[in-house]
Amino acid sequence: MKKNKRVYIGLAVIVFAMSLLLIGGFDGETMVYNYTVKEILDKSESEPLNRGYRVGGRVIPGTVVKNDEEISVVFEIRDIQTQGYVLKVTYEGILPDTFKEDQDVLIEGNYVGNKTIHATKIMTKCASKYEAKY
Amino acid sequence: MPADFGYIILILAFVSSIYATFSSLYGGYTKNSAMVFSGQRAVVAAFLFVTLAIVGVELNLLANDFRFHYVASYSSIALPLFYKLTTIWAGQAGSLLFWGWILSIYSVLVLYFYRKDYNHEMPFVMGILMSVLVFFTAMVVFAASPFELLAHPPADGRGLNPLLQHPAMAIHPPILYIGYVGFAVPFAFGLGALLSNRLDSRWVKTVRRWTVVPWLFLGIGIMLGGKWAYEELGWGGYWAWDPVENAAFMPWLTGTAFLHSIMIQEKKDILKIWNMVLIILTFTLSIFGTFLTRSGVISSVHSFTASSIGPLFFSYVCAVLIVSLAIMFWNMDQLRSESRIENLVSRESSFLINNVIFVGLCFAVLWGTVFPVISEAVRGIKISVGPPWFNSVNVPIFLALLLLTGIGPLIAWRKASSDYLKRIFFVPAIAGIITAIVLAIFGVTKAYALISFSLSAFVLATIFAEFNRGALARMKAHSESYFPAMLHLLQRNKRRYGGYIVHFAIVLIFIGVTGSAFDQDIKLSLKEGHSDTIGRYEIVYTGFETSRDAHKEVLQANVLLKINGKNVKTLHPQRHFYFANEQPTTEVSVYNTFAEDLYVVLNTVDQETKSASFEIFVKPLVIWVWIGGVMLAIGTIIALLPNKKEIEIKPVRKEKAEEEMVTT
Repeated sequence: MKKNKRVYIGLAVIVFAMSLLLIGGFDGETMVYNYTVKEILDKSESEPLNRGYRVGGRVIPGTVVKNDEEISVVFEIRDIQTQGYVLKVTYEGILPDTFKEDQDVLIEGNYVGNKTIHATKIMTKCASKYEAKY
Repeated sequence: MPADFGYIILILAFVSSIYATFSSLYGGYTKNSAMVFSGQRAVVAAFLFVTLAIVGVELNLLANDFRFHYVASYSSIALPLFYKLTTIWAGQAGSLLFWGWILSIYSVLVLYFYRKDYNHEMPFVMGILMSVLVFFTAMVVFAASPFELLAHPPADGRGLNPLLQHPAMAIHPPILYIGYVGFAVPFAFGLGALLSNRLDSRWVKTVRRWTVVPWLFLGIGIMLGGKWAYEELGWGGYWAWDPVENAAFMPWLTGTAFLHSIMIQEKKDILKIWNMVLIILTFTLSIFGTFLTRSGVISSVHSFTASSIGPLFFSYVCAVLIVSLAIMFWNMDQLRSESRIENLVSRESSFLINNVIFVGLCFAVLWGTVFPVISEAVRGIKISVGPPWFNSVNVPIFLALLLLTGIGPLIAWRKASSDYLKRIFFVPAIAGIITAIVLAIFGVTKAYALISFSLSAFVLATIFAEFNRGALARMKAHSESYFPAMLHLLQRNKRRYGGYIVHFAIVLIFIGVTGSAFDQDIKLSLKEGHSDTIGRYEIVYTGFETSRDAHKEVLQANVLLKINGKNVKTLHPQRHFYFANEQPTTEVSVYNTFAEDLYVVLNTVDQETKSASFEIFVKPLVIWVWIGGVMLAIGTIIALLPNKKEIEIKPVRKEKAEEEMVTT
């Protein structure tokens, strides 16, 4: 019976260690808030620059300018719900295949002031025909 | 197939599965064999109706009958025949029907094989399987029918997303589904054993193969998904902790735990409650996985637009969990074991620890997957949980599992003496330590990577030592030479040594994944004839060409790859522009070696200056992930094959022989 207790203690230690890992994961560095364009523009007044954000918006048609020499791209996104809020996105890298104008994208990057975010990652909501609507 | 006819068949399938459920369960409770028999015939009827519906949808797809919503949404005239056939699982309605079809196939197979041997359990097993089929046929009848008609049929369909037109992606969904759905069988057997009061270890023995098969398919499905992402999506990775990936990974984890812990129940008749919980969890997670991929609740790259089936599906997931746990608690006193685990350092306890860690890992993945939804629903805050979170939480857990992969199979039953431990683990431990030291000397400073490689060496050494010990013992006993002895060893103990091969495969996958800690990437823009270097590679851009066929325009860059000034290979990264679809697709070009992959993505070519831009990745050890995947399949198949002994004499004898081998 006494020996059996050791098994339970061993298991308890493991469960405890895993809970610590799980809780320790929520340190704000590994979890990112999703902002809207409006929120980020309102917030950037008071917040320090160069902080990491993740922001969702819709690509404004006609604003996408690619520079193939430097493999960089600049475009603008607007708030999905509210008109009039526009954020400029700069990105060095290759746009995902699914990137399209007038489509919702998720940008991860640093706000560098002047209504501009420097993206480190661009994600698209899949505009595929997994589920087409008629 | 005409729409009305299709609908009628779906309704017939739905009605037969309802009848099969109630007739089987009622017949089982009242021991009314006429009802049970009638229920069994309804199982076959349901299978036939669902099969007919599948044939009907396929015929519509082949006939390019765009009056049907489903055909118009996912197929087109130009779509190659193979992809027309696979379109059945491209969309929601077709997938749900397909899910039901696989379930009905499993049900008929189980009925065929076990209706005599398990005549007490079978009514309940069938009742449970058919109740699941009721849900899926109800979905295609009431919520998402593949026979829905369009008011204004288009001249041509929308076609299949070009990204999905890839052989690996075409067979990926059915392979995953065979996995997901297959867990319904052990689940039904578990609950069937409970409901029929037959809780000896017999069902556990029978169910092992029926768990290993879906487990293997789910594993292959996950691997194929990774391979597809690596080759088609062009971001240089194969796993992103995307909700849809997690959806398949979670039942695989609990399924793995179940496969391990039923060995303990089989031999020691303990952990009965735990096994029941595990199989309930595994099946619930399978349904939950289907729900995640199909409902679009959690946004992801795979996300399917929000659909009407979401709430229905979620209610069903909850219902499955609550009802099955309730059945378990009602029959709790049957599940208590006589014996218990005696010692912390023993096979039993190391398997239990393995189980707890697997379930913990699964919980961590679940938590990270659903947290954004919970956070948005409860606090109204949108949060993303991405790879950094999953990696920081899961990597230590993975490493603990890797360690147990080495320890678990070797440690003695009941109580392992310290002499025994020293004898078995001394050499492997040394191998692990030496690996760590050597790598550290060669400049590997990343702690997790060092630990991972070191543990990999440890586990590999334990596996080789096991094969070696077995072969030496046989050499002595049967006067055989070394390699034939090893082969016979494998033939005689397929389950055990197949299992070791699976562990070996897992180590290879660990090594491959650990390589990603040393990934490099650069973005290049090169003029024709110019070059640049990454790592030990020199990349020369020699020009581009364009071509077109009926469906797409292809832009191809030619890149010469040099190592130490020598030409190694010409790579042809491409971009495809489909006419039917504005979305271009990337065709990466990869130079594979056992040490690393050079992975070239073409961005664009400037038609005037003729300069091309690329993103280039150097990815160490990636190939071992795929080799590991193949080994995993090989090992699992070996473990599934019957042993010679098993055919000649009773299985019970074999277990004894196996146990003796372990202790010698």
